[in-house]
Amino acid sequence: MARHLLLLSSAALLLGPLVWMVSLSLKPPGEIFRASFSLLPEQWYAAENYMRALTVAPLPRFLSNGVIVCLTILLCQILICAPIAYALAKLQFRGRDAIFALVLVGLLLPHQVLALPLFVLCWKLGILDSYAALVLPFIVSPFGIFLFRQFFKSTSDDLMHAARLDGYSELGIVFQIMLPLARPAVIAFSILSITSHWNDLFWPLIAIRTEELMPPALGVITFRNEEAGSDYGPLMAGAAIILAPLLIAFLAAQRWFVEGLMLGSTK
Amino acid sequence: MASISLDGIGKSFGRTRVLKRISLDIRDGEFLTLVGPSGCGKSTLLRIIAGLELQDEGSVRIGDRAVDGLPPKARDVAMVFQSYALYPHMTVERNMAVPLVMRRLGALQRMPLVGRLAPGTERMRASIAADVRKVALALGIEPLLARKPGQLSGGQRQRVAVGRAMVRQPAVFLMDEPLSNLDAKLRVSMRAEIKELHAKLGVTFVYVTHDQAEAMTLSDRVDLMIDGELVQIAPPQVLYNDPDHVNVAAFVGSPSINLVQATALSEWLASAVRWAGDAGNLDGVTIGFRPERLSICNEGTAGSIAGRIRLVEHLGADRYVHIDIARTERPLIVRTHPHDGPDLAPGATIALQAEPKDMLVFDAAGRRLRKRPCDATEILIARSSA
Ligand SMILES: Nc1ncnc2c1ncn2[C@@H]1O[C@H](COP(=O)(O)OP(=O)(O)OP(=O)(O)O)[C@@H](O)[C@H]1O
Ligand SMILES: [Mg+2]
Repeated sequence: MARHLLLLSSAALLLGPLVWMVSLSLKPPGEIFRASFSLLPEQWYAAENYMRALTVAPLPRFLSNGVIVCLTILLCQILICAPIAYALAKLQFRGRDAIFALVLVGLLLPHQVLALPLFVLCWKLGILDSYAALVLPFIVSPFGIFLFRQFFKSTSDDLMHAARLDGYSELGIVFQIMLPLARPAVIAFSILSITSHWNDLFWPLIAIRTEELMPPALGVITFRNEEAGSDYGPLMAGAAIILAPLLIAFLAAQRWFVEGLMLGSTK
Repeated sequence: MASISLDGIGKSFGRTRVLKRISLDIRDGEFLTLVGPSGCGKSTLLRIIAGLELQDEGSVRIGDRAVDGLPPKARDVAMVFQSYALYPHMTVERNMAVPLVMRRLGALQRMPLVGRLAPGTERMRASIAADVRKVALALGIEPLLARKPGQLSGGQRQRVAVGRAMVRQPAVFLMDEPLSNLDAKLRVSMRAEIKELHAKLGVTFVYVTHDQAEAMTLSDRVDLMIDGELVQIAPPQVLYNDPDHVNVAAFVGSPSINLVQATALSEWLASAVRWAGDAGNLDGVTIGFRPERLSICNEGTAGSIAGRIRLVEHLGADRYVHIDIARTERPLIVRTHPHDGPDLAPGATIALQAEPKDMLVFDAAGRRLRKRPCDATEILIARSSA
């Protein structure tokens, strides 16, 4: 009973702001700053708020930027992390443990620490203010390497041997044997990667000026400053719209997500 | 088809030497079994033949070419693993098709969608499917083709693993304890099937097992390995009757050979084994008697040793009698026919006899001592009447 109460209250704590955001997005301006508190609006204003959010700012554009950037990042991450993880899990070579230690260090470093060097790097490459600047810093994910390595390590060596005898190349083994087997880990990783880059504000703020290139979170912020002023209804509606795709994706993949994260702990 | 020739193969993992300069010639079409205690390096040797592990020294020849620099897929060998190592995410049909797809189709043709457009792909895929079906029919797994490995029983998985090895008609089959995960009954029937398979395909088999019945029934020759060294390679009958090493004698035969310290038998057999140690030094010398080579006689018979029956096991056609004799820890087991000899009941005092020629004598290091006494029977009789 006590455990349930604890879970319920922490869930309420996490979901509270979300519910409030949705509630605000349904209210007319007059009701938003009223002293009395109610979740449902007296006068429904949802259509107006959402219409404004979708028309005043280029919200669809932000959303499609988000999709392009997040999917490109994810694809690159998987293409790069899986072979590295395979080498660290299954191949014998000098310096392997040292490299894995570096991956663990990478896991500990917050991305913000690297922002300045990355900014300089992107500037030297001449890719500031482009999709490339949004993608490049994230294509090698220490967490992805770590997660895949743990998964690959748990598969039997015989499977890899059989694949070699059957004629697979090493990359063939990674992408046609190991990755399909690691599906729960791939899905868990995909969700974490997509949510973190969909919601990322810090790096786009540094790397992007042009409004057409802005990912959702950054877009909504500028939208507040320039267009909406203190018009919170449409702002909340915009926030709700950019959150929706994530919620849907998470709910759809929830089972695998939990499975993937449990993996290391049960074996 | 191909012979295999290993020349001075050595392998170490870190500090441990797992294989110590192993040289071995396997004839074309031979069924060779590797046996030995756990950890003696059997699987490692098999992996070296397959090219899955690289030896530190020595060279491997398959057929008439040295394959040392060749990757596994170019060596024309197929392997059945103890864990079967089927691809869990593919159906049985795809599992069996993989070796053919990887060999017959080019990289472009293997691509999921583009491949269909490449010339000849359809025809190739159809011929692969036909080959897979043929093997599946021969192994009786055709109804399972659409299933995934997770939906199969152990025996069915084993067949699929054999099928995957068979489809591409390799020159050499390597099998690493393929039956050890099956129950006893299934193991016996699969054993017969593997023998038939070998007869039908006529290719070279190298087979690893812990099960001596498999080793004895399947093999043309058995190769016993201990601690990374070959101890004896011989046909099963020779291994049984004329072992070179005490471990060979102990490995083959069921019930296993009776091994007794010669010192415990010194009064009975000292003279028979005197030639064994230097100047009659019997320390560490072991004498082995096969259970069917001992016979039970009445107490006091000339040239016999007294004992007391501890246990009698009736197995239908056979009877195993466990007999305690003085100064030995474990009882000797004697195999007799149920109606032979005197009435046997636990606790009875009887005597044991053996022909000197049936005694296998091993020195302190376990090596067989073959020199025959000038006339052992005479010595025995002389001793016992003295
Ligand atoms: N990749 C490896 N790294 C380190 N040591 C290894 C490796 N593979 C095998 N060994 C060691 O080599 C020795 C021989 O192993 P191997 O698997 O060949 O034994 P085996 O005879 O097949 O035993 P079993 O009958 O139990 O299968 C063992 O002591 C094992 O611990
Ligand atoms: Mg083994």
